[in-house]
Amino acid sequence: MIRPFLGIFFFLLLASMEVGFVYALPFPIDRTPLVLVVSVFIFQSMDIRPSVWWVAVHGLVIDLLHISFVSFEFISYTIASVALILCSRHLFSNRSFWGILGTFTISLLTLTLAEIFFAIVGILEKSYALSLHDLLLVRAWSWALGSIVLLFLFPLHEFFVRMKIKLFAS
Amino acid sequence: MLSVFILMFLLALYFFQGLVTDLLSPFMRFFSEVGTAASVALSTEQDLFLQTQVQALAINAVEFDRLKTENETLREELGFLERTGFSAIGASILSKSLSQTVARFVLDVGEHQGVQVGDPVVAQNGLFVGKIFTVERNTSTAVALTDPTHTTAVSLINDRRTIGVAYCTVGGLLEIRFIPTDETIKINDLVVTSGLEETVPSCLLIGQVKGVEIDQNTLFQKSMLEPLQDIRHLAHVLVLIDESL
Repeated sequence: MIRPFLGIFFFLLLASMEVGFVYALPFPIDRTPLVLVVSVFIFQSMDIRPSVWWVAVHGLVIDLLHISFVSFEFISYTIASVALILCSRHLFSNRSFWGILGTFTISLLTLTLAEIFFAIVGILEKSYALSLHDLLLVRAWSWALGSIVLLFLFPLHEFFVRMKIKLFAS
Repeated sequence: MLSVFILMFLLALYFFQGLVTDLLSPFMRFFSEVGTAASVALSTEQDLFLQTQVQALAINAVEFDRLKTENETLREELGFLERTGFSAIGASILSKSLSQTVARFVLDVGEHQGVQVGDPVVAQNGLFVGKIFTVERNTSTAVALTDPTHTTAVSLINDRRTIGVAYCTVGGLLEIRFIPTDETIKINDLVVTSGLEETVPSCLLIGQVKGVEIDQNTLFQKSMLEPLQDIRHLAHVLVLIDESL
């Protein structure tokens, strides 16, 4: 019973850390997709399924705060979460770092494509200029920084799993 | 079962938008202040010192020009806030989203505090940083000067008080386009708000001219301007409220 509330609390903490702390840091560190990368890791490596919803709800939070350059981030993030599920279930291993990195890469790519689609719709509607080069540069940094976060998360998780096994063995 | 629960949760979140921001506000305020402190700490001491010096000099210059103009033409009128009917509300920045594609920040004041769409947002030293874009019950989102989807009506502090519209370009710079070539623009000319936008008063300092480009094929020139205030270094701002509305 307590697990859903723990999940909600952890999501609130993670989302606040991303939009409050990470976004306040200098560029490009502020483009670290903390919620997406942690959700991918928890979903694929630890098999905690509700974490996939964090991705969609994070899109909703961004929409409600109006801090994105495109509208309908909820839909973009939901599409990314569908890509996350498909990749982790049918495409990549949940045991290797490369598998998790692959899922993260495809999720981020799907998110970017969905955002580009909504950006084009927005540009047609409001007629403002948005550089595709800038958007891709920002997402390239997101990918690089997300991968660095994974580089820390993966061995950390492995270490705790080994410690747990050792404790039970002794 | 879980999916239905989550779907209901999402619908509830959507229909009670204020709830989300109210829930996140305490966490975001804490993390945002820590992030801003980290951002300042990552800047070199010399950078911060020079930036403060430039800001102080620019503020003095604009203030001097404004006072001079006021003395000449509006001697009987009072200070800026009284003259325009604006008053200020202090606000903390809850979140910043600043990159090449977006430049917005979330404030902890909203409809309940009297904030309205279009209200100007200034740093505590009076430098113009953006405008209110959307307003919720207790929070609001502002677009910064460097947001690619928004423009600002500006005026240069030169002999002819050149007016124009500033657009965001690369590297956090702004560009004033379609300035007739007979207007004289010099590097380091100061740029302020022109007052042509309904809710934004005139003479709020924005930045300095950093480059002028004359197009030989047309009768226009354009100038690049650098905003004087880096929003990454701000944790608190003022929202100017027009009490006459």
